Order: sequence, then structure tokens, then C-alpha cells
Amino acid sequence: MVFSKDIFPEGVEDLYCKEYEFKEKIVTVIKNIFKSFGYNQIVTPSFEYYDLYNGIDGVLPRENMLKLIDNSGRILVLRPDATIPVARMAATNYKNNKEMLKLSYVTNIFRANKSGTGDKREFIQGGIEYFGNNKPDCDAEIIAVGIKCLLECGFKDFHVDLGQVEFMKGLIDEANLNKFEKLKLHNLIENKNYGDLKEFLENTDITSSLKEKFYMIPKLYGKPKKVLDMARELVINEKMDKALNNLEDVYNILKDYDFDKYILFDLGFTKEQGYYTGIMLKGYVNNFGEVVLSGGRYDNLTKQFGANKPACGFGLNINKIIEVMEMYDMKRDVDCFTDYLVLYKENFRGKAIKLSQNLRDRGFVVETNPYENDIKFYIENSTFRNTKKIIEVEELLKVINIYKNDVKKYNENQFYKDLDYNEIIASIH
Amino acid sequence: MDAVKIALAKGRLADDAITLLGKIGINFNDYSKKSRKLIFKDDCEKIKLVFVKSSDIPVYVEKGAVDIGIVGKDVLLENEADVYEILNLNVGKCKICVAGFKNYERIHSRKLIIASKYPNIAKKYFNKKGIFNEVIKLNGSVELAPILGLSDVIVDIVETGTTLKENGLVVLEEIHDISARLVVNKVSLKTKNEEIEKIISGLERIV
Repeated sequence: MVFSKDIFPEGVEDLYCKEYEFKEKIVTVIKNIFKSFGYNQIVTPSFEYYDLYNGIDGVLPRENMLKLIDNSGRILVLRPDATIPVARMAATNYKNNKEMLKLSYVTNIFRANKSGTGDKREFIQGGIEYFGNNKPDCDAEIIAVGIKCLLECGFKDFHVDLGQVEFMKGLIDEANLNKFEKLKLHNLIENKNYGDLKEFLENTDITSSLKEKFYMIPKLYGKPKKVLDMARELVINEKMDKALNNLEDVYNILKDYDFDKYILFDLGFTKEQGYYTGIMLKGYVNNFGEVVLSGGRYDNLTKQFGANKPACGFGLNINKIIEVMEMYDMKRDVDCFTDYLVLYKENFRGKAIKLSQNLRDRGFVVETNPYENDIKFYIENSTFRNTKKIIEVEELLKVINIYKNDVKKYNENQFYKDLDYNEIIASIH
Repeated sequence: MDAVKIALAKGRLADDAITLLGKIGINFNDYSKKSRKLIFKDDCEKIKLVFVKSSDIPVYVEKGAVDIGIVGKDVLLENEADVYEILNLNVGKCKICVAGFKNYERIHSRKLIIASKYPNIAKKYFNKKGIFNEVIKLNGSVELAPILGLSDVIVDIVETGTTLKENGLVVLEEIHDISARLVVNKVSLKTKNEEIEKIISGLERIV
């Protein structure tokens, strides 16, 4: 094999040692939160048929999916989204199930992003999906779980933006526009493009009172009360009214969680960006320019798989969470280390292996190795391995404390006694 | 609170932008055209100005390395980015056009060959029109391409048309009006709302 220096595809990475431990730690924290709210874990296949994703409205663009071709010539897609396969599972396996389904996942997502952007082509997402419940309490729970995750990760300076896609839809329904114009309008509002929005509306025959309302939309973000008051004045049909009431209901429920202080509103979110049909949420951490948390209500997605389940969920980009924690220097409490390296010569091997087994039973990380007169090598290597103590097993146990740089000799009984004593001290502290 | 970072590209647009910012009370007294510095602070030290290449502004803003960018619409069309395009500053106005020889007629039996500094815009425009095309990306002196027979037409920014005229070319079609835009990172708008909103509403009044 020719071993080229160009061995890495863009947008993927190795994760090992401390970095891996840290990722695992975050994943554990998040999984425990999901579990505490009663969400059961699920894993769907890493790849499914292209048709599954291609047939659905509002999924990411086709060119962003990473594709494979199987031996029968059918096109497969590496999981580009977590919600669709979970919804597919819920719809096909629990078609007639009227009961509520609460699912959680931590999984890898693959995207064929443009090269040279620094975007990951494989990243980890953790999230929950709640099927069969269309109450605002369900939306609020989803948002609360998201906020809880950010809190437990140690963030303080963050907020979650809430929107309601039906509000915008209600307004756009009033305007007599063709499909292409509607799409354009969605995009202008989505991007808060005030300048072009004005120009676009001037060239349509929408009534001037309706135009005024559209001008206001991109400004409808910020403190919940302010946004609600402004938005109330724009309501011209039942759809818009319902949307605002729903948003307010969810917000009031979040007050009972004591999470309302993390909430801001943005009514500029529109349906065009996905399969969402109601509440939408996006989470931001201060000084980090990318969304770390996103989700919302998607009542129509399971219909595309022949079931009819209202649903709501969110996903957390774990790679981004780790990036933010690095930025804020919050990576603590993880270490890869060895407590004891037990070195022996052949005639003491039995004793050394017994000793190491006893130590492992007590919860220590123990490595063993035979040695000759090359103790120096092991001492040097212990810095790299992050080894705390080396034990040379002879008639007596010679314990070299690498951190303190001292050497003590024990017989076995003394050694265990000392160990017990230190454990008591440690437990008191 | 951390400083709000604004990205500009050196050149005439930067001067226009700095004048605009001056009008709303944000002054960069240590800035001069000749300075080679790339980072400036305003007099109250609340706003930082950084200079990057104009085509890089969208990505700096999208990734949140800076909060605000002031950049031509041409750059935004060419390098699509996920940002809020909040204001049309109405400066640096020009047009992006298809240009070629005055008597140019398309040969329908073969592909149209276009030379441009804006391959994405050119491709999109002709694809939309349903014209089978091939785009050659050039980095400068695009006017030379039809003259030397490299391409049939060019897609480029036209301000006064002088450069085209001097090279014997004319505007054949107009693609898009161009002017400077204020773009804002989608998260910064929320997290540094007060400061950014002040800049937006200030500029909104004077443009």
C-alpha cells in the first residue's frame, strides 16, 4: 500500500485520551438528564436509503448528504439528521400506538459540507424526541431539558430563543403571492434583511397596511414581554392569534421550571428552514457565534411515514458544546492516569500479579510489566503515561512516588495498612 | 462586556463605511488609509475594527469571529453565508453585469463560455436561464478574456462602464444591483443585542 501523507478527509478527527474522556463525560451528563425525564435510548442505523431523506420536505439539501452505493446499486445516505430516522422508527413500529413515546439518542451525524469551511463532516449530536403529545407542556418540557443540559454542562451565560413558525405562516397566508415569491419572502425575513424586504414588498401589490406588518416582523425579537406586545398588534387572523397564545403558554410553563430567565423570543423564525410546525428553539452561548442547541415541534413528519403523531424534540451539538467549553477554559476534572505501575522480575511475577489484582479490586488503575535493570526508562516514561507511583516487587515492595519524587520500602502488610490509612484520610477529605 | 468587532475590507468601501460610522458617533481616530495596521479601536474602546479580504468577510461573520461585517452584495451573492443581512447601506453602488462585444451573438450549437471573478453568480444566473454554460474563474483583468478568445462573455462588476468601454466591451445584461450591506452574526445579534442594535438603528437613520 502506498501510504500517502494525505490520509485524512476534511472535517473528521481522531479523539483520544483526555479529549475522549471529556467527550464521554459530557455525554454521560446529558444522557443522565434525558433519563431523569423518562426518555428511553434509541439508536437507528448509521445509514439508510437515500429515498428516505430525499422524499421529505425541509430536510437539508441533497448535496449535503454523504452517499454510498450498495451492491444492488441502491443509494444509501450516512445519517444526515437524527430526527427523521427516529420519526421513521416511531411511525413504522408504533403506528397504532396511541401512547406517548419518549426517545433519546446520542449519535454521529454526517454531512458533506463544502470544503475549506472548517465545518465538521462527522459530529456528535445528542437529543430527545417526544411523540404523541401536542400540549404546550410537552414543548416546555423539551425546552426545559435543553436548558437543563446547558446548565449541567456548566454554562451560565446562555439563552434560548423561542419562535413560533405558524405566526409567520399566518401573515404570509394573507398576502396573495405565488410560491416563488413566498419563498423569497421567507428568506428575507429569516435573514432579517430589512433593506431588501422593503424593496421586495414595494414591487408587489400587497396592501400597504399588510406591508407595514411585514416590515415589523424582522424586528420581533428580544425580551418575551416586549415581543408579545408588539406581535399582538400585528395579529390579523386566527392562526397568528393561536400561535402567539401557544408561545405565551409555553413561556408561562417555563416560569414554573424557573427557566424563563433564559428565554428570549424571535418571531422571525420561519417554516422554510425545516419540518417544524409550531414552537421552534435555538440555544446560544454568549461570545460563541454558532447555535449549540436547536429543535421544535414537528407534527407532520410522521405523516410522511404513514402515521399521525404530534411530536417535539431538540438536538444538542456536542462538538460545539466542547468547543465552547474549551473557549471558556471549562475543561476540568478529566485526566488519563495510572495509579500504580507494578514492575517485577520473573521470580516475583506471581506476587506482582496478585498485588496488582488486589489493587484493581480496590479501584486503582494498575499496569504491570517485567523489567531488568531499566527502571530509569520506566520512570521517564511515567511522565508521558501520567503514572503516579511505581512499585518494584522484590522481597520488599519498593514504592517510587513520581509526584513527590521519593522512595519508600514496605513489606506487604505495611503496604496494605498504609493504603487503608490513606483511604480513610481520603474519605474524610 | 466584550467589544463589538466589525470587519471591513480595505479600499473605497472601507472609507465610506468609516465615514458612516463617524456620523453615528463611532470614531476611529488612529485610522488612516496608509496605515498598515489591521486592527483599530474606537475612541471609547467599545468597538474593534478589523481589516480582512472582502471575500472572507461572510465567513468571519458566519462563524462569529467578528460580530458585524460591511461588505458588498456581490461578495454575499458569491459566497453565500448564514448571516443576518440587516441593512442596505446604499453606498458603493454598482451593478453586476454580463458584458461582451457589442455585436455578440450567441452560438446555440455549443456551450456558452463565461469568464468571471464571480463563478457562482455567473453559473447560477445562466443555469436559471437554462443556458448550457461553462464558467472560467479568473482573478483579475476579466475584460481580457473575450478579447483574447478565452470566453464568449464575462460577468463582472460595472460601476461607470469606463473599463469596459476602453476595452471595446458593452453591458449585455444586468444581473443584480450591488451596494454595501451590513451583515450581522446570527448569535451576536442576540447576545450583544444592545450594542449592535444601537449601531443598526443609528445607521438605519442615516442611510
